[in-house]
Amino acid sequence: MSVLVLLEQRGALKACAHEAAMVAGTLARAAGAPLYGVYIGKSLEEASSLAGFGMQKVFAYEHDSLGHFCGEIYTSIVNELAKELGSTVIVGSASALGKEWCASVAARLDVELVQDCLEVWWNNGLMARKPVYAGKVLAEVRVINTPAMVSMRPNVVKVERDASPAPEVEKRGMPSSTPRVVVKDVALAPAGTVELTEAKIVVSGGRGLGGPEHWPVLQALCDALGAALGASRAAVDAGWIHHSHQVGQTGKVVSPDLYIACGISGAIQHQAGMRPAKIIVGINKDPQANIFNVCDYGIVGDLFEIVPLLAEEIRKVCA
Amino acid sequence: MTLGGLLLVVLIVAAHAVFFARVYFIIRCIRLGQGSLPAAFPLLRMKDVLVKGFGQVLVLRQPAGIGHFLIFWGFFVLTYGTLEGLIAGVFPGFSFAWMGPFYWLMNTLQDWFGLLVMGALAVALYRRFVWRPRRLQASLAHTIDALIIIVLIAVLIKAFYAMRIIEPKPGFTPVTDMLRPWFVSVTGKAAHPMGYAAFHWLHNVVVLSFLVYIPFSKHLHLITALPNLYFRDEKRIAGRIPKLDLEAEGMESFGISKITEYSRKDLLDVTACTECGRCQEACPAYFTNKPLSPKEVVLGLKAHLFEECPALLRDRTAAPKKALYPDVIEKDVLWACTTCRACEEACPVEILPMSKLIGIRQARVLMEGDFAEEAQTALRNVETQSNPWGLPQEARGAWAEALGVKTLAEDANVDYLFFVGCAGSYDQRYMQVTRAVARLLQEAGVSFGILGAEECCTGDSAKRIGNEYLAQMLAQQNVDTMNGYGVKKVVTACPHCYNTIKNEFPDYGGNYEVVHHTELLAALMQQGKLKPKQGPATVVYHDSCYLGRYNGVFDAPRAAILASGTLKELLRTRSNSFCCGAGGGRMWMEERIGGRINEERSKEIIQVKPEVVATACPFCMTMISDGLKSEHRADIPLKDVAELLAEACGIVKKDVVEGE
Amino acid sequence: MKIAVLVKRVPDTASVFKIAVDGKSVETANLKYVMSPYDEHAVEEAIKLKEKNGGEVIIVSVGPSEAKEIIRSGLAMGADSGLLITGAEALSPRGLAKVLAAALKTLAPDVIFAGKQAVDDDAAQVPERVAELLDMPHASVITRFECLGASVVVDREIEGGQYTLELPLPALLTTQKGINTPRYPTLPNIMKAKKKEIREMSVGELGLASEALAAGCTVEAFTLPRQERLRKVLEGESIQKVQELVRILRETEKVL
Repeated sequence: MSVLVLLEQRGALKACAHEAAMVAGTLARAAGAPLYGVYIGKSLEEASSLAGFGMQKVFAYEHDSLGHFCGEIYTSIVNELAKELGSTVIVGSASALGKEWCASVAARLDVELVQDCLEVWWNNGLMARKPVYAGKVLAEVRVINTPAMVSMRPNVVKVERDASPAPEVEKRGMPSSTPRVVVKDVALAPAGTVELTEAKIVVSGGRGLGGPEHWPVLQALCDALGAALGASRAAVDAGWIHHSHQVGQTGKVVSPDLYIACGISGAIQHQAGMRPAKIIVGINKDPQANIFNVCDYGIVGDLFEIVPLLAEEIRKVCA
Repeated sequence: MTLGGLLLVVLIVAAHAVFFARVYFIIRCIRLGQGSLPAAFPLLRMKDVLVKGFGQVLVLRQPAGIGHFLIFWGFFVLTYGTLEGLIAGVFPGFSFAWMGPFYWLMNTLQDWFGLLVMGALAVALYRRFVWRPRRLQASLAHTIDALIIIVLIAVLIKAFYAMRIIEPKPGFTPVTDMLRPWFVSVTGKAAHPMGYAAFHWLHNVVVLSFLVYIPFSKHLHLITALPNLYFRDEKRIAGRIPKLDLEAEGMESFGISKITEYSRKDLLDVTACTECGRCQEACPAYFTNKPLSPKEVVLGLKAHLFEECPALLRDRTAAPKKALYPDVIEKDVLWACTTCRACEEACPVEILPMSKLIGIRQARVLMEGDFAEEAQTALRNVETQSNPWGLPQEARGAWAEALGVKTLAEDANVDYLFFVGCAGSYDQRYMQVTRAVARLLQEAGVSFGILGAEECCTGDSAKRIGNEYLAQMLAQQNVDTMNGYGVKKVVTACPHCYNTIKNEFPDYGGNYEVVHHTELLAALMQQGKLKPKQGPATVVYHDSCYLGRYNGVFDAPRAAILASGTLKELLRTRSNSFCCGAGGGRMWMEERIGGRINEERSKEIIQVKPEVVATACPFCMTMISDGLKSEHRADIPLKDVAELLAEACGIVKKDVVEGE
Repeated sequence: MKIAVLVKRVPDTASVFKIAVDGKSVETANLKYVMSPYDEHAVEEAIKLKEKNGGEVIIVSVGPSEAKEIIRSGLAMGADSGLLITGAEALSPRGLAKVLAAALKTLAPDVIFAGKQAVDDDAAQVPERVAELLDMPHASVITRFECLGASVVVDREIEGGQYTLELPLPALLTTQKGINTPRYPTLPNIMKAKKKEIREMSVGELGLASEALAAGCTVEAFTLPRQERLRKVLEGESIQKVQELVRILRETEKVL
């Protein structure tokens, strides 16, 4: 019996790899099983960052051609390794690549997989909590058969380390195989741009902004939060910002975890676009504004005062 | 018969041959359309022709109509003399003198009308070439067309006066009598046999040229306008869109994708246009610099009809030279229409430009699935959750719980079904109106219930976007539910629901007595069941197209306003009211071309300095609210008529805002 | 070219969800069902491919017989035929994938499209499993698709960027929202769809061993996150309100 964690990298280990390692560590301790990690990439430079999770060993499959995700090779490596280690629980990340990786491994191993978990724990077996119905309902899932897999939603768990040392690194070579899927190109979006519909946090501005010259006020908050910038129809119609930023009935429907509406009255046409958001914050100087009927947390106040304060506070607290 | 007489006979025959050949061609063109011309109730139709045609009632709604009235009647009066002149040209010495007193009267009238028509022509020239109001600005060809007609008529009348000066006829003819001394002083003598003959010829030749010219020019309306009034399609009048038969055997094409798919009445319509431009002047899309002009739509269709017809008359299956869409009617023209129906209201000969566009929209949506993506979102939402925002259908009646309003499922034994509508059920702002209406009805002791989650969108937007299929499903579903509860009377808080339930649900077996909330509230006030206290506010009322122009409800909202404040009218009001921009599914589409209709309307509202703005429609409320904000006048309170009345009746605001 | 599309009938996520009395399912009485939104993009991409290269599009679904309506809506978009596999209610994604793989094997498609996930169980793994079981190359969350004949080129989304991949056919692709705009069905196609064939078969007919299909996990409980907006207006001086908000977002809501 052992726990294996898939350590996702993009050059360096991704934050979600540490999150998965921590969750896997907790499970391993609860189940009294050893924890192993698997790294596939160019070269594992920061094994020391894996200290504090109780990880005994990390198997590092290193090769220049392994830098980019290649489903076929990545999957067969984990498939072989899991069999070799007799892994009972495999933990991955529910990132865009991680979900595909986990699903492929689960199919090869013919085991169950619970994707996109918010929480996993051990209670006489593996338990997981995950959103279903697009987050409208939370499901508590018991995994009956092991081996089994879970993938953790990124940015949900807070990484905490204990005093355990960094894992031993066992370097392994690349298995010989020619993948059928060829990576032709990798394009990374310039840092700082977040696509509105996929953003985890959206900051939107409306008529209350007063004019296009004031966008930097909101942009500063976006930068502090790593958020995408949205706008109400009124702001778009006034020509203050391009239509691609429009949130609403005739614009985009966004589904972030956090939506901050600044100077937006919250008419139904706008609501239709922000409705799927998990938490809505409204900032408006008019206490009668409808946004306060449709938000979770409201601040009545001048956005030119509140927004900079908020950006500053977030930078302070989240630094 | 003289040689001259013979020549004139040849000319008369030739001119008539050309004239009738063209008229026959036009009739054949119209007959390429679908169905037959509506002809039921001939007496009512005759009345229409008498009042609207000969009485010129529709034309006279604008001052320029006076000129037309004079030319119209001048035409008939002068034709008497023209006829006499033509016959006299063939049989010298012929006259209508045997008609005695009538002859005297007609000579008198001709003398007077000659001057009046000349005056009208002078004004017409001034308007076209000096003043140039926007609605008369047209292409060079059209301007030349107008000029030719004006000059022909002017020459005709000059020739007429010249003839009468030389050879007076019995009658009270002050104009001729006044001109005669001047004529004598210029020419030196009164008798001019040669001159008379010359003017006689000129007159006859011009008359015959006129006859030939008419059916090839915009003056075709001389021939088609009166028939167009006679054959009015009562099924289409006032914006009703008849139910399409989507299940007809062998039917493969729905909506209008070829000119010949229009009805014969539609084709007669387009031939009746005189390019007066009143429709264009009234059109909110045109007013805000969008590519749509109802006049150009009709003229485009007319030109297209005459261009395609020769080939089609040879072979019904001939491929068109131009596609109706997008060659004749472009995309941005088609979708700019707010279906406000101002064009149809403005037309003096009852041409229906809006209906022509709806037909093409139906083809785009039903046959190609081709319409604005934003609107697709709205219609998909309507399909799944029965409201355009895609909010849960289950929550539709949620507003009612706190007010103790019951659903028909709970208690069907009520007088009125309150059909709330989507906005009234989901839009936080309009839910306040819904609550105000409900509280007022409770106050007045009206027994009513709602359908709650069983209520569906009526399909107004779907229908006017052109999705007849979805609209029919929604209508049928609502009618089935309503009939299931034995609903007899319906009150709605939305003019779009109102129009659909009242005018289109009968097509689905739904026959109800339908009132808008303002009508019911006004009636309750009159019966003394609501006792509003007069307040001091000056209220400006913006007429909803679908309530006012579509259904003639102008006075009820005003009565309700007058009970609680003083009423101030906008410049464009009642049947001339200017659209808010949201009708015809435009609510669910972006308005990216030209100015914004709601802002234009809001400017007009702000101009009259209202203390309060009142609306009676959820779309109007949203659009005017946005418009006032854009014009930085969000400080002007915008309320529904029901909210004003609720306040005047002392119904606490808290009731209305929070539903408690 | 034979193109298969995997679709699923799911409740419209705008519906009001209520937990059923058993505590581990949702009340279905008032739910509105639709084709899972990501699947619509898959159908659209399949039809676009057919329009370009010819061939046929088969809509494949596992679900109750009501799922025929959802297949029908794919047929109305322009797909040619449908296959519905019933009797799979108790299956986990693992078993479901086996059922689909077995059925697809007999169809032998050149390309399989599927939505990146179905918005009911949000399992996000069935298509990849199917591809693995069929030993097909596959790519997930694609935002662009181009067929080069014997191979296809796709853009595959990753956080903050994309991969451009080339896959030999046959291959399976899962679609992300940005890839296309699903077409609005036309009336003639809706009418035609009513006459198109939807083959129905049960899981039993596929001859799979029941132990291979047995679910290895089970839902123990469903809970509802907060349903209504809190509508809490924060009080105090501006700086206090801002600090309070950040504290709540971090500690209570855990969204920062």
